[in-house]
Amino acid sequence: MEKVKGLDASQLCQRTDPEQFNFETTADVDDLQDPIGQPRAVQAMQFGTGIERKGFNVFALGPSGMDKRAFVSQFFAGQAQSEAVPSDWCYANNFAEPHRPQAIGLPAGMGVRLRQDMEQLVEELRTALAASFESEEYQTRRQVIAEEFKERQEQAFKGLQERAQEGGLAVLRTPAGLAFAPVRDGEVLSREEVEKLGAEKRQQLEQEVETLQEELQKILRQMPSWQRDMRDKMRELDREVATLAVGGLMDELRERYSDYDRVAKYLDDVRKDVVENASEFFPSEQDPSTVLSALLGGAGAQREPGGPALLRRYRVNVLVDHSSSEGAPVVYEDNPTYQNLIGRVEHMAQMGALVTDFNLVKAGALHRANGGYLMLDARELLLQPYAWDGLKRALQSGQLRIESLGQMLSLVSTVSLEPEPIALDVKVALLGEPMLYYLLWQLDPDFADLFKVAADLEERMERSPENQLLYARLIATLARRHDLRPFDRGAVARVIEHSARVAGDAAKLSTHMRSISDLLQEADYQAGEAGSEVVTADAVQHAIDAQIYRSDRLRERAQEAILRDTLLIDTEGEAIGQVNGLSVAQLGSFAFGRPTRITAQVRMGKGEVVDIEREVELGGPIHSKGVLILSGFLGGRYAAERPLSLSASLVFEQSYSGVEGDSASSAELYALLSAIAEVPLRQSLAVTGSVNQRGQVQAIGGVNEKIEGFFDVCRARGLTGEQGVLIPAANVKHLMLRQDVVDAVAAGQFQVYPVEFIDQGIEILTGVPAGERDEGGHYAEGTVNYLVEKRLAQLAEKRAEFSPAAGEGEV
Amino acid sequence: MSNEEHDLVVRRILVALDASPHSVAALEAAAELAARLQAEVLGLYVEDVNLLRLAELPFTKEVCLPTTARRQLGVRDIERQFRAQAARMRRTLARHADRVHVRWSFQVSRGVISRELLTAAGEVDLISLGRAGRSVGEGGLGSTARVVCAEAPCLTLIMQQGEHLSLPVVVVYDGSPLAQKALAAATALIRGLDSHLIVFLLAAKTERAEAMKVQVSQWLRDRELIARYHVLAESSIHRLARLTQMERGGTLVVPAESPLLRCEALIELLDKVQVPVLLVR
Repeated sequence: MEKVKGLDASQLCQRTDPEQFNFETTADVDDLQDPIGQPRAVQAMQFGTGIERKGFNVFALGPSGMDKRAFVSQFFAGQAQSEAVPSDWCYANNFAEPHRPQAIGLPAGMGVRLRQDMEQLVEELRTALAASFESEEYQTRRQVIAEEFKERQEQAFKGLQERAQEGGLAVLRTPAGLAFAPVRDGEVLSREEVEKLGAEKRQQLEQEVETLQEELQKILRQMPSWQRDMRDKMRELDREVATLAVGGLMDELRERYSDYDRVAKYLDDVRKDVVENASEFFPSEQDPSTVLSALLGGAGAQREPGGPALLRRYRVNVLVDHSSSEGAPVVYEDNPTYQNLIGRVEHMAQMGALVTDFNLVKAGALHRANGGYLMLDARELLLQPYAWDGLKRALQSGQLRIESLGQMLSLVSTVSLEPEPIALDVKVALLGEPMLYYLLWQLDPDFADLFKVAADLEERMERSPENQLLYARLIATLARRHDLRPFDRGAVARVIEHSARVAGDAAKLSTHMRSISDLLQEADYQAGEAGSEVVTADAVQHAIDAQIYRSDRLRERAQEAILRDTLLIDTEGEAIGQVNGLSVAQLGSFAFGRPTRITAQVRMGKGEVVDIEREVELGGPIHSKGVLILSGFLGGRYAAERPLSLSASLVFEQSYSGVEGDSASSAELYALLSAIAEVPLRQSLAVTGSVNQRGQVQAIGGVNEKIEGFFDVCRARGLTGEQGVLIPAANVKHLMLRQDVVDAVAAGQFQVYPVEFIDQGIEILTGVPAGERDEGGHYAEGTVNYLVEKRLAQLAEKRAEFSPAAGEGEV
Repeated sequence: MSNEEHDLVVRRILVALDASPHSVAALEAAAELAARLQAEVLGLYVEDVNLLRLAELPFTKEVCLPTTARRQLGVRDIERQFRAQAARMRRTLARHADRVHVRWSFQVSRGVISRELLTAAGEVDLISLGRAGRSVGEGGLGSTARVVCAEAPCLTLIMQQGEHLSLPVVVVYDGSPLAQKALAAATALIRGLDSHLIVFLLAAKTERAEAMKVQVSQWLRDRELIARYHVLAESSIHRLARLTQMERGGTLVVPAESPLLRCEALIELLDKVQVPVLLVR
């Protein structure tokens, strides 16, 4: 097996050469028009905006900080520009069913015009109606009707009275009714006088009274119908006069809107209603409510004739006004509550009660975005009670139906409205993290129907020379957008390098917009502090260092603990069954690596490797899996034909919290092999990498942080030239190490070994050849593998001795 | 002509209460006037002796309103009804008088209504009554009002349901002492209010009218009042009523003994105009 050499300094960090850029500063570079590094998401967005089918709404998924909103709105805005301005929407009174206001759609700008026209109409109606109803002619005709009734009544009574007089009787009004009495000279005859009249005369009198009373009853019974007649006639008169007064004004308006059926019909209804309620345009003295409202003042004033209440009735509530819009609307609702989305019906207090009418219907984001595009943050949306349900219902039905939540849940019982639904045609984009997308997909059966287009944003892009140029333009664009100093090419190169480091891959660049623009702004600040006109590579480096310094308090504590030997980590010497593993801690946006001592103890046993971390439930399942693989490796390689009669325990020393991941499994294996073979390991080296059952070392994450973590400890203690880190060879392409590490390697003070197989690693760590099986299947004496196999064989034999009967014991 | 004795003095106002809507209007007007003139209101309810007699008759039945049901009517029934009505009128009087902080008293008497009213009117300065009582009539001036208008010894105010003592006040002036009293009464009605008078000068000749106008305006000037004048050369009730309506007169004040307005004519006028009328004696 080939001996592994330490990596060359040039392999540790892929530099970006500033000279490849043909500009001095980003001031010379054009803005970037299209999003970079998102070919998949771009195609999805083009498809999503282009397709006009139900359910093809977009979910833009990407981690937070990807600037998904800018990404999506760029496409929406571009598409919206070329689209027609959608309709205005108004709610107007439904005279037949006032609790169901009617929705009227009008070409853009016409909504406000209709509102103004209606306001003017009411003003004019008031004048016109007042003139008609106060006219002499009207008053006379009204009086004639009243007189007619009076006459009819009087005549009836007069006839009765005359007949009574003929019989010497008069009609008298008693406190409770009417009665007939014989009179002489205007005075009622007394009892004695009547008695003097004689029996015959008296009987006649009685008979007469009886007849008259019947007659009177008949007349009185007719009275209500006469009164009704009179009222009908008065109403008919009012209607006639109002029709005439209203006619001209309404005809003119109706002509203006004759092309719009809904408006024309509405205006017809208005005409009918005005005619029916013409009297409401004037004060009426008998109206007790006016007295009451005058006493109460304020709220009651609503009922004043011709006042606000009347005005409200004929008003037009313009819900969506596009009079100044260009193209289709693109709306972002940053507080997507149910009401802000669907719209709401407000109430106002009137004399202690909550009342409402169509004027209090308010638009939601869906109304404003109707005919265009709506963007919502998925997380915000899901956090708002019922907002997600409301949105789904609207999208599914293609209708915008305003329902109050209180009503829906029967929480309140105020009078409310059922506004006529409005046809909904909107493209919705939800912006959210991938987890939300997948959860919705899995848990909500409607989701797949409604959000068919996923715009999956990529966090990393290829670090090709062309892309680096695009990246430079991105930096230029962001610098201008945030009003920053121009970046010189050195600074651009440094930002690109840092971007590769953030991406954790020398061949990739990060497209995480927030980290980039944060770094640019911080670099600009540093340049400002340094009094520079342009942002230089130094300023960028300062910004990066400052970022790290601000967040590395815990790393410093950890390192201090190592340097003061609180955490035991050796960086020189040798030890059996002990190796430096490397782990990464992620704190917010900052990750750092630190060494951990891993030790192994072996003894005779029944072939199990005990993971102490797992026993105490500090180890995660992946870590346990890594450890179990070790038994597989040991058994497979060294004890294929006899029982693996060893019991080993592995532990992360001085670890007080959970351990997860299998990146320490190679280190554990080295410790185990060392313990079994009783060959000491170099403590000046640290190890990372996972291992499979065949002894291959596999790639792990956070390789840069791990190397730097061990390097920092070694440097603090003094670099000896012996120190270094073993990494999986597959991780070499991810290396974007700090400049000081690169310098130390260049100076031969530190090594980074790319390891492919466990045997390569063990050779570096022990200085002893690993050994390969010869034709006879035996390892050469003195090699590590030989020692391991020998020890395992010894243990197996010993174990057999302990067995109750050879060949019968447990295996 | 400008002597103070011609100013109107009203200390006691009699109001005839018969539970008709007109009489409530009369009560309201009386209370308002009493408040303005610092007078007291005297309410009078008369138990109609005719009804008592009626109730004594064995065959008397009553057609009840508004149910039109018929029932026997005895003396005790009618007396009970009188008491109930009187109590109601007393409460109404108290309510209206107390509202404007006016002293009041209430009396019940029994007899022929007009006679009882005229007797009581002898003790007061002004009598206020509705243009018709509760009797079934033709809608014009009621029988009681006719008698009182013709015979009352004091100022007589005739009110109609729904009316108030509104402005402007129209006064008929013919130069007679009674006309002067009418002018004083009209002045009293608008005292303290920001209003003017409308004076109808009854004069056949222009010179006479001019002279009267000078007299009136002089008298009014002393009281810092102004007036608009109309000459009624051809003196007819019809014209007077028309003119009152055209001028949108609120309250009409007329001297009762004016040649134009003798008895029957006066009653005709009251039948025609739809405004409160104050007859001055």
